[in-house]
Amino acid sequence: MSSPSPAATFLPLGRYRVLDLSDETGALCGRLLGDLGADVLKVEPPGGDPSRNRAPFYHDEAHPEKSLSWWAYNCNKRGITLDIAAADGKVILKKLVATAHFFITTFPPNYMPSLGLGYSELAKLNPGLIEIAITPFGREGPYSAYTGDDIVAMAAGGMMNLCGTEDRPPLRMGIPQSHAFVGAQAAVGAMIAHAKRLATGEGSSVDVSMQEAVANMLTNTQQHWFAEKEVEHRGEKHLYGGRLTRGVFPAKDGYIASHIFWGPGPGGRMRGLAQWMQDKGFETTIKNTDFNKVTGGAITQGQVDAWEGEMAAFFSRFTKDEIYREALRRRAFLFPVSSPRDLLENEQLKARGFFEPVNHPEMKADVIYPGAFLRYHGAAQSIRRRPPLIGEHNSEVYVDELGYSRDELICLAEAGVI
Amino acid sequence: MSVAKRLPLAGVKVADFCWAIAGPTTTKYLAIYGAQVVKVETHSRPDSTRISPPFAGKPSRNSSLHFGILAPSKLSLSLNLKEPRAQEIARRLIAWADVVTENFSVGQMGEWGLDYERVRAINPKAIMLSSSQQGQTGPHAGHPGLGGMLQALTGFNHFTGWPDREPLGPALPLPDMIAPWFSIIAIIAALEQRQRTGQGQYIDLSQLEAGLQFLAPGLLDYTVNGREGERRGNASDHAAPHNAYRCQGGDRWCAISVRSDAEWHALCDAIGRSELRQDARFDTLLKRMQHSAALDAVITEWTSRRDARQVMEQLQAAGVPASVVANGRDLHEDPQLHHRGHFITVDHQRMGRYPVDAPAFRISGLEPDVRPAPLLGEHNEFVCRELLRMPESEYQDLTNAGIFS
Repeated sequence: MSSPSPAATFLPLGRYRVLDLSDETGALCGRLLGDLGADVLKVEPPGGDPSRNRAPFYHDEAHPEKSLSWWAYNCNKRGITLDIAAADGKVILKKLVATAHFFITTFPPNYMPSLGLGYSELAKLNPGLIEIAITPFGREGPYSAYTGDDIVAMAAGGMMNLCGTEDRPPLRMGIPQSHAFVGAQAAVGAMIAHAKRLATGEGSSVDVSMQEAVANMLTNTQQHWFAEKEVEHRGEKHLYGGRLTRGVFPAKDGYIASHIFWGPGPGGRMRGLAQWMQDKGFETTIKNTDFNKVTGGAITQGQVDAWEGEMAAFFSRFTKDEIYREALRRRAFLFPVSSPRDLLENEQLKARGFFEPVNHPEMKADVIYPGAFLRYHGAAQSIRRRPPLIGEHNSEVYVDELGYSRDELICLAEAGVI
Repeated sequence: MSVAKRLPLAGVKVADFCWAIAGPTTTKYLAIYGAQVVKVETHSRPDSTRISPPFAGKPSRNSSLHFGILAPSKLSLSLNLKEPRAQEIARRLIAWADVVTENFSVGQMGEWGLDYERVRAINPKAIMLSSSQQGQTGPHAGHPGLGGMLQALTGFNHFTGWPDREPLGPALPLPDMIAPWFSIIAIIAALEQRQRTGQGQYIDLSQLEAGLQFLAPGLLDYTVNGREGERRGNASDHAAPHNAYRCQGGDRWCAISVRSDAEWHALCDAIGRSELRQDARFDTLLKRMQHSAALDAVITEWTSRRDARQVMEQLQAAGVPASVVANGRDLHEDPQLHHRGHFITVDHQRMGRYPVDAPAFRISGLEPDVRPAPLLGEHNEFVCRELLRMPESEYQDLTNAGIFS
């Protein structure tokens, strides 16, 4: 346990199959079940999942086989193409459903029932099936027909209101986060429904709302309104002990995260920084202040601003890396605002072997991916399969498994069914 | 209890040493779906959320609403783990448990004699979760920091903000809110495996590594294309308009996203400006992307004279993606969340009635069992006498010795 061992990957869901019909809002759900060992079949419309057209692209070549966003969340899956609205497509899908355990969709609420593929129909074929249906606002209710993408979900769930500056509009986070928020929580719903199935043998339909998934990423915004009828405000500065404080400071080559602390206990977190300032002979009042004895009521906003000004002046002399190295040595509460390069060079992630090369033979390249989301007994949940090509496993599934002939497959391909 | 028996995790016993946010959110989900979760905490250093606002009424260790939403349906055992006799009770609880959870600083459980090696010696079938900022191993394991700072280390702030300003991020400890989803699925999967094999398990979750999953597209853009990423405000690669637009009444906003010609035409008609369909600045997506600033001005002219929810509902009725930028009040008044029963009201003996947020999913035929958060030490006697089968005399003796402090 003390060091990551080369123990075999732990694949507790190895006996289960997932049909993943999702776009970018459900991709992480299938990925996580796949990481835990499930056989995930990505079922894409002929031509490929439309979310294969999301940037960034491999070498900036906009092509559905080269979307890095799609790759990121579709490892550990096989891929087939199928038009589920065609008569033959429905027959094939139903055959697949009969032996599947999880079924992930991101269609508008009434789409699958309109095809005769609603949960009640599918459950007749497979009473243990768990359907996971992800929609922007949920499958029923006054907003259920509403459409939404990332910015809409981040607004509706309350995250945008907590992000940004006071003088400009509320901000979306830079890489679409609602997709990850909802994908991860959909996987939780899937696993709880799975626990129910293990206990009772019954399947479930799981109705997942992106809006609610975003709302469940807030800490206590809802309770602030409930208790204090207080609306939280976004801004560069945040309230701490009744004063406005900064969380980010410029360094020589970027930014770092730091914070001023005071009061009995938290005040001790200033020691590492104060000692470092002293060792550097930096002129500051911070090193002579016992922050354990400072109380919010006794200091003015001006005093806080002055201390933060001294911190800013000090940090601006060093690079992010220099600051983090000192912080690690002194157990000071300082972190870089990491760029991707910082993360690839991060000693901790290197030591844990976090980043993983995955071979893409078509590109004649090893692509470095972020690795396992956790470790069991020191064994990481590694990437066993690169993301599938469009229809890559059609023959494996339709011919070898379902018993269609090569001629039938050609017919279905020409008809645009697969 | 008859309801609890039908819950999917009924019968699962959890010795929960978690505190603050990331760990307790994990065990909240286990508890509301039927697991018996014994939260081990102490008066001598209360769980940080027990003493953080907002409070229902007078601030006390039993009136924080933040704690209230993190600890529903749990039992509370107060143990001062600095005491060897308290550690002994903790070991008995571990022997009783199926799952052991903790998210202390790396090394803290070892100081109490409760690290995984010793947990395994007591209970080889135990599934133990250690959730920490940067994992249990490696040179930076145990470096101190807060969740908001880990958000910066993970890189969320690097990608978020305006190009001409410093990095920003949501004012909350995001990695604390990410880690639980991974922890929950890992524990349930390990429980099933154990049922088949009898195998215990140790789960080492690094909140940094969990958080990086959510930034994977940006990381691949660097490893493949060498691109460092940037702050782009609310700009999108493929939609314009795409922003939050000022509405009537102070700090009120509606997010709008237009991705296609059809949505653009619908927007023009909905705001009573059908002539904009033919406007040469806006009649193709590429032109709308190019003239997004002019577009924002046109839309703001319409939204700024209207109520945010009215803007949302009117545009959505026309087929245009839009939403109020919801604040705490909007969430409470949201008709959709209301329809889904998002706020589950519980009645707490000190705090009175308060709302607990429901999960983002509704599972057919299954309601979570959401009960009020416990008072600190409320279940000391129940846990010791009923669960650990401790004789009355021993319990009294321990009480008198101040072990439950």
